Amino acid sequence: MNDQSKQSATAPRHENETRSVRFRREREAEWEELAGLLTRVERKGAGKLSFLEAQRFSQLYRRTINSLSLARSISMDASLLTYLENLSTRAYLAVYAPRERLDRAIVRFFMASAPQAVRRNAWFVVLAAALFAMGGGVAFVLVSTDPTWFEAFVGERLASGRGPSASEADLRASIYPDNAGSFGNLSFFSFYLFTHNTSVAFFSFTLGVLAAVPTGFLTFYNGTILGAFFAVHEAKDLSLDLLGWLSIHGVTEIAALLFASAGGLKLGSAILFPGDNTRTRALRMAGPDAVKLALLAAVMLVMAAVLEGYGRQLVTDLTTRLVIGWGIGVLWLLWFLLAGRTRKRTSMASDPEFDTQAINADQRSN
Amino acid sequence: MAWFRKNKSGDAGGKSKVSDKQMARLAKKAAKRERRQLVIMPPEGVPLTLVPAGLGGRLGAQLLDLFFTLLIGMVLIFAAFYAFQGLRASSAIIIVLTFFLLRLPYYIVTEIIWNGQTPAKRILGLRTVSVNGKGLTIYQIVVRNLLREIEFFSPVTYLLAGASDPGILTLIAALWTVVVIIVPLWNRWNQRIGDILADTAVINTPKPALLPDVAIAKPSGALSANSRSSENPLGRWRDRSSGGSAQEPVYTFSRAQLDHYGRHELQVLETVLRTDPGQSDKLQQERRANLGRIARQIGKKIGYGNLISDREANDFLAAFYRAERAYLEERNLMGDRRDDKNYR
Repeated sequence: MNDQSKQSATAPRHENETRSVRFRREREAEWEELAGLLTRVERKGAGKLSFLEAQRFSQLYRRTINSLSLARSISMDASLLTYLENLSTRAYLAVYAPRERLDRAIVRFFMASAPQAVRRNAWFVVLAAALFAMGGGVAFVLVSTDPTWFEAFVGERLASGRGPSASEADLRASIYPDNAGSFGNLSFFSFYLFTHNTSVAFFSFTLGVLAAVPTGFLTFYNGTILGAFFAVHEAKDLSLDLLGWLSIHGVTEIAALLFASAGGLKLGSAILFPGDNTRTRALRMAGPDAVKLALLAAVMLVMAAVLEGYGRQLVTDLTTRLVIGWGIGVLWLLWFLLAGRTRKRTSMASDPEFDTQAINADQRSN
Repeated sequence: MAWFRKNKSGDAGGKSKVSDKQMARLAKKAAKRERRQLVIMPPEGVPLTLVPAGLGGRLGAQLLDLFFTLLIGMVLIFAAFYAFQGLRASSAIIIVLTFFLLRLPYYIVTEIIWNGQTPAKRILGLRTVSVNGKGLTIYQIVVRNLLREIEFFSPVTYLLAGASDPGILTLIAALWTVVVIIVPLWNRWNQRIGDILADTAVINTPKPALLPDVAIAKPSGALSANSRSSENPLGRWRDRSSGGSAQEPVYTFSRAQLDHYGRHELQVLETVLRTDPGQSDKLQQERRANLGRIARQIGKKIGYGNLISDREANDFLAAFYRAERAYLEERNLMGDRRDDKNYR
């Protein structure tokens, strides 16, 4: 207000001008100042501004967006409106940039969010595991009674000759390669297996959106592959050896698949049972946990691939295979069960006295 | 300048069919543009209108990013193979793993650091924004980029790796790839599935440029490039018209005369006055002739007569613009919104 009277006193020739022209003249300097700061923020990041500049930046942003609102109601100057709109948008994007630091987000994911998401959605994981086990059981029984079922469950490339017709020696050779360290054509097979499993994991997560049915089916189907293999090896009395061969990476890999399908089931259940929300909203609400599960699955798949690349062919002793595979499995389990438990929750359960103290302390510090 | 053309045909005797059709087409176009606009509400409570990126831009950005990741990945892989000879045996899995491990962080990290821009988006002037009006969160960035992996890369990798094995998964992968390509074509902001789930959209980064206000420009000065040239025939007229004070209006308009037009016509006139013909003589002459025709048309409509010459046109139109804008803004303040000349 003060500025306005001063300016009109010093510049009487503006007396007769249009209101919107005066509006622009009075605020133009601020806009240009904001544009200057904005260019710096966009080039080098807001962290490079000094405290005062940052303060000024947010102040100017609010004033400019205020100008935009005013201009919309009083000005007919199209180019001015466009300018203000663009400037405000750019400033808005710079002011409301992602605030969390990347490294902290990563640490938080591994230390807290991922295991918490697993614990919150334990029932979906259990459901996925149950479907997987059912598939395995069904295929095992069917292939045991009639080996021709094997073809129905396992594709030709996935089997790569290890079907019911394979001799015991062949099967044994694929489990315990003669010269450890030579990858040979197994490299291609493991590559195929990796892409296969990754795709299954991704599909069982994504297709959860379609009411969870494809996810359930894929999980079941994946179980049948395993069950069929076990049935073939059981017939030759090699199932324990197969378990060892699979354990070294399979524990991690199958857990990853289960988490992926648990994420998919979570999405699917949001579609099937949205509760009081619309389905889209329910899906958005289920999103964060489901995505955490999917990310976890991706991390575990990569770990499994590393284990597969090195461990499976290098470690050929049955006991070592079992120990490594299930040892890693136990480590995963410990992580999921123990990591990211907040002190508040545990203390609430054990010692309510301590908890009220903590809350009081919080209030005092605030 | 449809309003101008319509006036002409209106004078020729009633509304002709052509102009109606044209108007309908223009209205449809405007409606489409409006529907495509992405209006977000920042916490400050002033809605901002953003322009969603076109399909071409998005595709270009995807391809460019793909190229960058392939380049980086290949360099890494060759370096790894060179350093560790033993790796060559398990090359296939190493390649797939490298690209997978490279791609996801590439998109996520760059979008976090550059506030919604990957290198390709930065080059092409695109940006990811959060539709809900709050800032982009890391969660949104992770979701949209994780889903890119799920949407596109894993089925394609799978198809490339397992195409010879026509199982049910191959079928699903092929169908899925088709769906993924169709989705951005069908929704108004060209969002892909990842965008929809993450509640984000990709926009064209606006470029703010503050143009001089047509209303404050001195009569015929600064408005057109031709006033700069010395052999400008307008010069004589300008001298005569601005004999007194620089701001003194030469042309005066009554309220009844200003009542003819609305906001839309005013803004079209603004665009006309802003056009810069550059230095070419031919273009300058064309502009002058154009302004002349528009000025005479307006003159006829508001009862100013048919007497405005091409030379005077610029001054006349600038003066008319000023008067009309002041008038319309005043009416607007009084609650009398006139969106176009058909406001009654």
